[in-house]
Amino acid sequence: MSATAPLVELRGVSRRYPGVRALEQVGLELRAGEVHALCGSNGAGKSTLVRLLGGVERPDEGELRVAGQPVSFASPIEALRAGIAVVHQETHLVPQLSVAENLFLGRELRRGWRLDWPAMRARARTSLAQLGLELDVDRKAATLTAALAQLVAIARALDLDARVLVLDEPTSSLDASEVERLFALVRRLRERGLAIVFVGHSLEQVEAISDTITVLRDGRRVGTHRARELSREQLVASMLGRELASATRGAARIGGGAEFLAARGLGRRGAIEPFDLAFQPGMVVGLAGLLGSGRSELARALFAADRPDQGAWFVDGAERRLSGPRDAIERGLAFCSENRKLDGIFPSLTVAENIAIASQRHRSRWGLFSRGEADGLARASIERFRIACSGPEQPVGTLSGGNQQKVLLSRALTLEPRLVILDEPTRGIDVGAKAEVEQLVEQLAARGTAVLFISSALEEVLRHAGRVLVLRDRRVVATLEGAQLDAQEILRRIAGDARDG
Amino acid sequence: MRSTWLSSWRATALALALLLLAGALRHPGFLSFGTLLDALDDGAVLGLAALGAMVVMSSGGIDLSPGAVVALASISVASLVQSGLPPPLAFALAIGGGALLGGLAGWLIDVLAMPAFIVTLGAMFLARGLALAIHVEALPIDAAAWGPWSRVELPLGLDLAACAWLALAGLLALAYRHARTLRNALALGGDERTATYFGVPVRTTRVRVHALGGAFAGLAGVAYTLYTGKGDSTACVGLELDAIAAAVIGGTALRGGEAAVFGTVLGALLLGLLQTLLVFEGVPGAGWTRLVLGLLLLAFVALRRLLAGRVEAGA
Repeated sequence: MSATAPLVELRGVSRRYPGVRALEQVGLELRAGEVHALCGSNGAGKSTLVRLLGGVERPDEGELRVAGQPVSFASPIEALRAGIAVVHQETHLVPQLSVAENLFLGRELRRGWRLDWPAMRARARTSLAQLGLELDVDRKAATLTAALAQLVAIARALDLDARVLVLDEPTSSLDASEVERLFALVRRLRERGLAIVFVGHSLEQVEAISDTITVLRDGRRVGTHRARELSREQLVASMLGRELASATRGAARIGGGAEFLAARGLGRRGAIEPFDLAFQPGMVVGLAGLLGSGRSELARALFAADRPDQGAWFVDGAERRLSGPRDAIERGLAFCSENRKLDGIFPSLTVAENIAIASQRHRSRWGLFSRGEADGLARASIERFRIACSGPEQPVGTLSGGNQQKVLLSRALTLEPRLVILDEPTRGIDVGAKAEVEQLVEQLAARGTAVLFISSALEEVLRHAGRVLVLRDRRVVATLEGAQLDAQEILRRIAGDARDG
Repeated sequence: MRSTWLSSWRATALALALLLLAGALRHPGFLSFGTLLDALDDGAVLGLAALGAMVVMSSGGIDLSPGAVVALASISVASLVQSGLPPPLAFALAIGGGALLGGLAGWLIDVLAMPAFIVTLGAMFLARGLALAIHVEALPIDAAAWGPWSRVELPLGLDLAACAWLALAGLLALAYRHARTLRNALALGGDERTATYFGVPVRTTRVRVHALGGAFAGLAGVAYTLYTGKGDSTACVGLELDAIAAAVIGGTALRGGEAAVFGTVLGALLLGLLQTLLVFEGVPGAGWTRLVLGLLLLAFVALRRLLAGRVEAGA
């Protein structure tokens, strides 16, 4: 198989966004009749690579070759014409249009002055039938399940005579039987000689479907392997470990004193299986697992940001029902979201306003909040966290990612919480800022604040955590402490090779 | 699409029927062929503007300029005809000007990645300013060439503008089925990202959609001139909001992705007949009309929301 010339080839491709190197000198070869999996954690560069292949974006450096010829796609339609069809994650179809309308959107069949709807409907039926789908082609896309919408999107790609089919996280919203159906289809397409790119997080799925695996990390290609020559553990190690060999155990913050917060059997259907978790002052608990393993879901359930549907919290030994984030904050929890931009910072507000916003309720008098006090608070934080900004009045949106993260941390800490949940606090920020954020974790623990630390970088988790919960498939599969805390062991648990427990 | 049209204009047609029934019960002379014809004649300006508004809304946009464009078109036609230009040429220039202004707004929205709301607000001031620069007040047309245009008799006694309105509505409905640009407009309004990924030429579509909206506004201005026999640079302030209201009552979703051509025609008729009925009732002033319109609009939005909720639950 690998003897054939590649259908599509990327050579030394780089893509940068302001302050981020999304892709750095990446090469990739896609061959006919081969399923090529792209693996990597958050921010590894998978999505960027998919956007380049699909003509949504163009590389800053390097070249893209189709059938040996260098090409440059000005728009997605040019990529389609070159035979590369991308089924993007979560954006499959236009909801208000029918199945047939979606299938032929942008390339409707004509007859004379008008569009030939009878012909399009007939051809839509045929191409869906080829995928084993019997579907009313006049049905609106909005009424389809995610799985069906995705299959229709694939049918569209095939009807375009695509030779390369890129599936960006196609299984993220499918159940097990739908995944099986999709994989059966992918295998059939592989036999028909298509080159297929599969982006996914589940190791089982990657193993089940792929012939070749390329691992990306921090925008670079770590390696490309034949799937059967790569053990699951090696795969996890190359995805997660930056310098795992040299990963050092840190202070191993296990804390001390009475448990002030515990979660017993807390869970939320479809998000995270019931888990137990307890915190003592000064304890750092790490969460390890791949993307989609349920790390953020666990954190959000603990913070009551997504209301758990079972289990309970115990605050200072007494059972409590946290009704939402406000209640959680009241009980001494603080949460720094993994998605700064989406539900963290208020970009157009100033540094001072962003920091003060969480504590307004406590510090205001008669609903009024002293601006001087906010400024004072901000100045203290700027100094303490070394936030690089012109002053408390600078809008947060204009700061670098690392400094935005520090503003977010400052806000969480103004309330003097007993537990801080840090979800991917080091993602997308530069090395210096990473070191400072990590230092802060240590400071917090030393002062007796408990920390729940979530990171895709295993060595960071190992450096700080006194206890590590390993997650896989939305379940806590292991709780490791003391001597068990070691990189190989965690990798083994993530890969699922060892007995659970 | 067919099911969408049905569900969207059905409620509007029902409301229209109820309004006619109420009028007929209270005023023997209300429900007559004459009243209906008058409603069509009186409704052409709003009806044409509402179609334009609907086109832009179906692509997920919004246009605040139609009222001002109507005024600009009408004052342009009046002053051009007064200065000796043949009326058909003046009409063409007014419609073309509307399309040009609309197209420019669409292009700016795309290039600057600015909200349509702001860009078309700018276009609104621009058009109103141009209209006032041409002539500061009403300009009656008394040129000899205008004579035959001042009263064009068509079958059934309908005005030219009303005929154009209904004919164009028919064409537009057909075009939503058969013209690529309008297919693409629906996709754009439905989900811009997916449309982009599917290879829909976003910028071209946006420019054309806004140009079409502008052309309808220009045509509404011509209709205004035909109807009143004058140009007026201060006319139709706020007409764009009535047009949006008519489109929404007709079943156009503000978020885009769906077209409601017949519903929008019915919506414009409904607004016109509402006004007529209130006149029959002897309700003084425009205040009551606006108040009832407001209630009606809110009722329709709420109704649609409830229906949509039921559709989702049933799916």
